[in-house]
Amino acid sequence: MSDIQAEVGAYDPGTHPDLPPPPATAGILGWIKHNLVPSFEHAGITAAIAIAITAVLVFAADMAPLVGLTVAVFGLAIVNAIIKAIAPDRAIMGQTLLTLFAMIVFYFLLAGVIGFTIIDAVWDAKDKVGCATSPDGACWGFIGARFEQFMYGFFPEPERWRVDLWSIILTVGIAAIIFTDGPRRQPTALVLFGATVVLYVWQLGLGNPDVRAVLWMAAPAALGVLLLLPSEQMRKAIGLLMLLAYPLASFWLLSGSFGFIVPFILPVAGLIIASLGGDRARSVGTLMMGLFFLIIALSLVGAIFGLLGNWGVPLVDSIADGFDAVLGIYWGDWGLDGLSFTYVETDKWGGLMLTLVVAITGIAASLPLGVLLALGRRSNMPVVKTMCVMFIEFWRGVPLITVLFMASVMFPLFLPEGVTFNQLLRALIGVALFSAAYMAEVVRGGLQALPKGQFEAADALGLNYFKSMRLIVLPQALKIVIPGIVNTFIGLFKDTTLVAIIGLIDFLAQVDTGMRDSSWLAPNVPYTGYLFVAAVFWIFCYGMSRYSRGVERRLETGHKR
Amino acid sequence: MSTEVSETPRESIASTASTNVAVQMIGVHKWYGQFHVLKDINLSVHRGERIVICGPSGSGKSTLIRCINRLEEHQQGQIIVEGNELTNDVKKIDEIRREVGMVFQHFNLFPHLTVLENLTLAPLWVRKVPKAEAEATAMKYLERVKIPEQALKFPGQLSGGQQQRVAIARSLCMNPRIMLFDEPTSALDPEMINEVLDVMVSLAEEGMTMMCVTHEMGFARTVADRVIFMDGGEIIEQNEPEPFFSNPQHERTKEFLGQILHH
Amino acid sequence: MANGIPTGATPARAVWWRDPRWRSLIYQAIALAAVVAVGWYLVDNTLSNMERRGITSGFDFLSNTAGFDIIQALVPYSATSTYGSVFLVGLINTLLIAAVGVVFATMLGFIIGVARLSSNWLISTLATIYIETFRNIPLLLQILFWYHAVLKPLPGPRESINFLDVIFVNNRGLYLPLPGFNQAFLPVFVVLVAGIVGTIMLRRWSRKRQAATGQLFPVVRWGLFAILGLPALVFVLMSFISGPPMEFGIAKLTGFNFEGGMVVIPEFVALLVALSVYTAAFIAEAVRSGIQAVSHGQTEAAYALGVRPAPTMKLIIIPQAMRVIIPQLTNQYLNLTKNSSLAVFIAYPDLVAVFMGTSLNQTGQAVEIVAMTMAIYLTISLVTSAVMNWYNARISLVER
Repeated sequence: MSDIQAEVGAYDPGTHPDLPPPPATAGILGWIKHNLVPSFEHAGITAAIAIAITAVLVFAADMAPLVGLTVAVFGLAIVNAIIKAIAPDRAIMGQTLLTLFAMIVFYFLLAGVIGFTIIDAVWDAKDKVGCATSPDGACWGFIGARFEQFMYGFFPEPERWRVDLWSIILTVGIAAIIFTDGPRRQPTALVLFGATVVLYVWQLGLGNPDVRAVLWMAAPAALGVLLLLPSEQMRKAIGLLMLLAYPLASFWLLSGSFGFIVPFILPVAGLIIASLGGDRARSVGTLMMGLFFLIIALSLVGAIFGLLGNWGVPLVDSIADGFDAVLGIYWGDWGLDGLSFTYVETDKWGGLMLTLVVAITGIAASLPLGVLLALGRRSNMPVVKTMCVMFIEFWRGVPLITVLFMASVMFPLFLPEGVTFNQLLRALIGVALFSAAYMAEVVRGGLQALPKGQFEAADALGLNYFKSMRLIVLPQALKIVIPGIVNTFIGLFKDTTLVAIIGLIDFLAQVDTGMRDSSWLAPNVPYTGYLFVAAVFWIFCYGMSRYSRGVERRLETGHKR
Repeated sequence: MSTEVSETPRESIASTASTNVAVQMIGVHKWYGQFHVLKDINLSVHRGERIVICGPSGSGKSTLIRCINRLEEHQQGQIIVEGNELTNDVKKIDEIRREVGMVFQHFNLFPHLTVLENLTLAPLWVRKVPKAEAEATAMKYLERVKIPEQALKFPGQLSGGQQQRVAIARSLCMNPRIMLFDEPTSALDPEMINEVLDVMVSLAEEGMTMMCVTHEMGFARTVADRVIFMDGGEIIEQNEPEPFFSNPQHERTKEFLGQILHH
Repeated sequence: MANGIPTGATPARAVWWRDPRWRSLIYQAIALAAVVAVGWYLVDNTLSNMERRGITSGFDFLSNTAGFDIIQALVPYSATSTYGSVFLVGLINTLLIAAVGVVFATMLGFIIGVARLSSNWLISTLATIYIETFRNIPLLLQILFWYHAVLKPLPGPRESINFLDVIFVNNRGLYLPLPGFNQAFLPVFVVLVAGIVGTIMLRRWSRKRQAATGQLFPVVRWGLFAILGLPALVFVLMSFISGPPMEFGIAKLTGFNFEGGMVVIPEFVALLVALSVYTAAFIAEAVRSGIQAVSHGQTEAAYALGVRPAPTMKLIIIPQAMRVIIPQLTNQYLNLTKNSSLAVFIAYPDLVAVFMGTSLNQTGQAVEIVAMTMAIYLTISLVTSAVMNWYNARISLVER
């Protein structure tokens, strides 16, 4: 017993205070020791040798100091490797040399970037002569002079406010979904209502008391109303509006034609009403959608009768004409074409705007298609399953370029004589089908990750297939795969640059064409242009990948606890 | 055993190095960042001694035994294992690790190797033993832990209890002088705990030096020579099992024993 | 049935339209009919459109003369060759860029991936910057950058950048010495082969010896010596005895251009650099995730057994990490192959550029050409994923 009790320290048991760690193992020194060089002694020796060799190289061989240091580091690394082969325990220079090497790289990187973008840059060049005054720096004048074109392409200048409004709604919509739990919702709503009035006065002052002024007001006013809803409802409402109403609004704003979207207002409004409201709203909404599908069905019947009529089947021709006469009213513009703006041909679309159009349409179309494909691939109906697998594997197996080529040269062949659609629509269809296949695989991952119990519980509750998918399975599966969806979107966003192959002038192509302009032929212009495009893409993609990683982390902790 | 350990540590090393001390810890402190996990630990373990360490979670008991084979680095004080002091010297660390076996809570078997390969890996690559000999030794220890028929299976095909017995056999294949057990039964289903404890008891009966972090108080009562109670990074109390359980001295020990023995 | 004892009767049947089996049959029939109808409609339109435009379908065009030149062809090709040869040349060029790209991307990716996990903060930060920069910038932009901003502004042939009068770089390409062997090379070659065979035998012998005595033999060191060192020695020796065993065809400036030597066209270089750098960023992430997927307990268990860090890496970490890495790696290889089709933007003559681009323009055989090109990529993808599935099945069998 005495043996045991003898081993006590300076404090009584249980009273030892928490002490700060010894200085060499904590704070900055500890950090350096832990993250850069494990031993200060070894680091000192190595640095001294490296500096000595550098000094010799600088004075005797007339090298630039940094070059000398680089040579010294690489030389010592070889020496260290040889020592390591002979006596592993004596090779003490490794970590220090690595640190020195990294420092040199960092220096060149920082010096290069800062030198090119700031110190040596030309800020106010008007043309290639101005740019050539400092060929080692960026020529920001080029970006400044062409900025509008890079953003809007050849969208007519007086109409660019439509693009502005379109992108503002997009930004605010996405921000509102991501930051639903943002603080001070009511005050923000009040500010937005105030902004509505200011915008209206401003628009009046510009002499625009028309649709344009109303739109500028309507956007913040709508958001203000939404902000007054509880956060879950607001997220749902904004999500639905962005997913369903926004595409129609986009078409209206960007192309200018209101008449075209009129027939689609019925089902979209129906879907939104059905999803948001209570029981009565649901039946009203369902009725609206039902009506629309009835009209589509009738139109199809009319079209089939038309076809049969063409083949000489008697009588049906007149029936088809009857259908046309009645349904033509529905598919017409309902006399609302006064709401249209100046029509802008899609070949005038370009720049960052076109890039966003392609990317967003691609994702919006591929998500529902991908969900259907994923469900089909997991279905136990062999025919459906095989068709889905074939579809998915086909699009995943070929490069997007070939898809775009195909869209460009083969889609016109697919359609009956006289029906054409423009290059942008072809690209959009190609991109949508292509990314739907990738999306399907992402969603399938989510479906597989769901515990089997969820499917069984849904069955046990007596839900049919569609209800159990819509209410139980998909909400959970889609939540799990948000990171995957975002990553697919990042890939799609980068891939939009490929549409240039079929003659669309996206952001990259716009800048690329701009730098080939003879008035800007200076050596630093291509660097500047590519750097600018790279920076814009990088900000978008990096931002999205941070978001996706954030969601991933939240999901992980959500699963554990 | 010298009584002035904490007063003049240097001298005591010289005097204990040749005696029967297996592990000696003198004024050991350890921090994780700013957090003080081990506070002034003084402990010596004799050859052949069986020690059970218990205490609430976060009390530093795992950290303590992980310092002995330097899976964790201590920042102050001395740890001497079989006459070798643990420093940054890689050679010393290797020597010590060869002499100290360790069994983990989560077994940590190598899933891509068969049971037999798990057992022969270290003898082949560290002790540089001929393959046939290594395999013979491995089979011998597999028989000791009563699962020779599983030799060619992969760890993933075994039950938890079997895996932990393989892990013990894997350590024994290196012929260690000291065995460290880091909560060897706490990841096991109740019905498998005994098969592992049986192996540990038979090891103890053969005179192996053992340090065992565990909450199996029955094991502590029957096997341990000494029970150590840790809390807040300190050794609060240590004693032979009988007085430790029947007459705990410190308030916190009483509280802890009250909690776990009522279950 | 009244007494609750089951009899041999089959359970009562539901009305057929409520029977899930009937329902599923009907759904499938509808789905199939819809797909067939749409397909038939498209094919019908295509045929009538082709007829109206006077395009004859079929693969006869493959034997017509193409009439255009290709700047890089590994098989004999001239403007008088057929579209069939164009297809072949394009395919080979695609496979070439993919193969070389895979090698470079793998090397770079593994270095960056390991650097990403370095305990040295500066090194891991550099690796992170690399990964985050290159994978968030469109590949096409990187290709255009290397081609238009870096390689094209290089000086012309007369002002070439000159490395020791052996290697020349200008805007027409990279001119390397073309190695040629003579008889004196034979001994070098013999020693090289002997070195390789010897190393294999050495490896076997050392394994046997380890099994028998437990002794380890530094096979890598001696193998390197036998495969690299010995032939080099013989090479030097032969140079003294009978003159240099290798002659290099060095490019020479004649007139406005270089002749002789080996030319790597700038389109290839730009595409290669961009593909490797871009794919390496993804491979690095795969390597990082693979190594991090091996739990820390594995390292600890090996260390606790006294195994040193290097063998721990070789015997414990890498074999387990590779199981996570290889599927992702294969995926990246496939992506690289598919991405090589971006060659068309800088006119590197790959399959898409010369076949889907130029040949399609000239012949108008859209359906056949699109189908052939897609079939090639599809075959590569499907074969690779079949191999991958087999690999995964085998792995899961072994490990359970």
